[in-house]
Amino acid sequence: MNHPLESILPRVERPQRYIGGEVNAVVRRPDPGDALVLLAYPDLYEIGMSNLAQRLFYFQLNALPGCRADRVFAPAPDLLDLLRARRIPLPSLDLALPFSAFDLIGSTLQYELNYTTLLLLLDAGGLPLRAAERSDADPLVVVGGPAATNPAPFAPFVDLVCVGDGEEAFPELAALARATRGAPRAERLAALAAVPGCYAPLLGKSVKRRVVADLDAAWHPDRAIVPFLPIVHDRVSVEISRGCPHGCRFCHAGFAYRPYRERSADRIVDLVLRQIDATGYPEANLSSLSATDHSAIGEIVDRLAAELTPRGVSVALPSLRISGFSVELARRLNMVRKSGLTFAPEAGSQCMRDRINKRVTEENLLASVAAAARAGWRRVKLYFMVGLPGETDEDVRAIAALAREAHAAGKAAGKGPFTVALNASSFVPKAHTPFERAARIGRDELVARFALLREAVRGRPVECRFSDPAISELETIYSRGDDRAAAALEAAYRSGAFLDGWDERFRPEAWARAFAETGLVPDDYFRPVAADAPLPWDFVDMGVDRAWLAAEAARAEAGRTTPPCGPGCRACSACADGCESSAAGTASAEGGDPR
Amino acid sequence: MSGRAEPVRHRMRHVKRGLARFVSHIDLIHYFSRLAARARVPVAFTEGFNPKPKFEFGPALSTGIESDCEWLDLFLPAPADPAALVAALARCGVPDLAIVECVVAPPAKLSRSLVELEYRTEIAPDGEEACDLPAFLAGATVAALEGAGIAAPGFVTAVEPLPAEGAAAALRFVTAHRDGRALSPRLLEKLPAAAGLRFHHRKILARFAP
Repeated sequence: MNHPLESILPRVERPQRYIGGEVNAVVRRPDPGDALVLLAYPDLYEIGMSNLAQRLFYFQLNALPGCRADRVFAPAPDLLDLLRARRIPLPSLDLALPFSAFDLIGSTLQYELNYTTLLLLLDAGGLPLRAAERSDADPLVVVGGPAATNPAPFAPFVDLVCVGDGEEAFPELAALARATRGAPRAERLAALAAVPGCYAPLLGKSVKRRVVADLDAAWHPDRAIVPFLPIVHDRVSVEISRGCPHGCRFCHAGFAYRPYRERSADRIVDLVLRQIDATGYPEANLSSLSATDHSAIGEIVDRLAAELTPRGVSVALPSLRISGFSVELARRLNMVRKSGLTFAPEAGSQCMRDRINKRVTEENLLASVAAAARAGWRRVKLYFMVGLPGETDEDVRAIAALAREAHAAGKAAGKGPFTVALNASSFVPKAHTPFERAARIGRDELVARFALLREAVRGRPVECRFSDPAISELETIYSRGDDRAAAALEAAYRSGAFLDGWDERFRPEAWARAFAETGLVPDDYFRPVAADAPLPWDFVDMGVDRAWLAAEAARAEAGRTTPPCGPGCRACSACADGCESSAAGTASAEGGDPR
Repeated sequence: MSGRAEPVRHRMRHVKRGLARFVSHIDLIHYFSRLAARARVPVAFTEGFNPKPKFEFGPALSTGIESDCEWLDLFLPAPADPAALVAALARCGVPDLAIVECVVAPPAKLSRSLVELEYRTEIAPDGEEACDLPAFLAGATVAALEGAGIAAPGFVTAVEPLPAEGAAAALRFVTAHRDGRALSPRLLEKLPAAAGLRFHHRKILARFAP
């Protein structure tokens, strides 16, 4: 056997990550005329195999005539060391081919901490890091995904950026990559950059994101690969809706994926059952930004429970709104035994929640926690953010107070021990949101507010966990990053930074060196951005009117809420004739669910 | 509980070939659970709070060793047609872990029934260091293994040369199966002059008590 990793696999941990050949993996060799696409996910196998975009593109492209897609994931440090020592380029998973054999390399960027691992993949695959240094024979590198909407921080390293929905654009790119094989690189870039939703940094700077108007008709995988080792979300996953009607002002996904669109109950149930049949997995996940808002969620839950419970298959329903109806749905799915309940109030005081447009009242939250306790849950997790625009110490204390009240409500209703787990992260201003110009809180102030919160809950039966400020600061810099951030990115990678999302691999000293070397001052990215100052992502049209975003920011400052998306609304400009929100407009108050 | 028939034991032999030799034992348990679900084979589940498919496995094979004869027992409500069961599982599985044989209602538990395991070990120079293959082969005897304290007395019952077939040399190890212990490559690394050599192991035979 001549697999390139044959002699290395006995020496690395979890070699099952690198062997391919899993159930439902596509094994056929490509025909000479096939477009060859490498789906290079910028994280370890265990993360990438759970990702819906990675799953979707793999099966979609392999089902296209004349196209063959393969996968590759980030090598763990032990494999990476051996690959480098023996000068072996990282091979693809199914076909064991080098990167150079492919027409197109595609990466979905999920969050800013993926950027260094993208560089790692390109490097380990033997490609020049900088797009300008690639030759006519090198494959084209395209990136997409939620963290591709501000391309400046990674633009020098990619040939193409695809903004918005990918399931129509990506097959078009694959076909063009094949058709232009052998042509000069500039010609290939021009051809692919002409695909709506795409642009080539080397050729220009203007792009309008791609939107799939009819989500129900859009392609979705009916099977999944079953890995040979546990992955983070070890289950089938069906995307029941895209986007979110609520408009919380800090949330990038809520604005990037407008308008809110749904798949039909029939389609969802069919996809779940096919995936379960094809995999034998005992769990199905209904993926969405806000599951409870689906107009047919009750029907979907009941139909799936009826089909799957007798087969011993459970259904997971994350992303639940804070409402009694959510608890009822979770109960119907018998989630009490399977998983905890998580709610995201995000802010402790009503005035703070109004500023961020999170239309949840204290009453809603306490009633939902009480409902959960009555249904049998003994533990609820609450997510909050510290450092939101306009926040005061009072607001921080209000987080603790709310968590304590939630605990008391749960304990009283459940008539027994009850735990509240409080997860506090820090606010990161995101491009294309109303808060894109807001200040990021400084390290000292953040640490002080975390300490204030910890002190306020001390001694109570509330468990507190805090996210790492250093990681959030890095996210801020790259969320609002520019050309200088791109230079620092390369310097950080060369200084040893990659797989930054993993605690044991995060290298703050590599980043500090990179910042010093490139003259990047983090505070420059934390300061609020003046209302008339240009932004590095101005040239990316996400469909949401910029003036409306500014007006939302002003409403936030005044503490005024904005109603959720509803039929016929044209306020933010994301909806147009033929591409409308599915939101019923009845999602007005958390807790007021008609279905 | 009363009146319910005892589930029937079905003993299945599967291979572990090629790159699938890097699938760990615990991963195999998940693999077969999902395989049974895909093939709609009505395997019995364990009792208790978190029911799982009820399997009994033979000794765990160390990762990296190929095998022609891995055994596991699964339990069905009634005796199945062995050929049909093997065919159903073959349709839904991967070839490198193929189930190839089924014995219905063997008399005893798997771990009690196995008495002997045989391995073929191919040896080749590693290419990077100097190695002394003849010295290694000379030292690869039952007496040497026991004398060096590497094998418990009576654990390795035979070490014999095999036709090399493309490798530099090949050995056959026969081990008595006792207390679920399997031959491990660590055993070979402790042999004198094992440095500079590369080993490829394959379990080739499992013998059961009559």
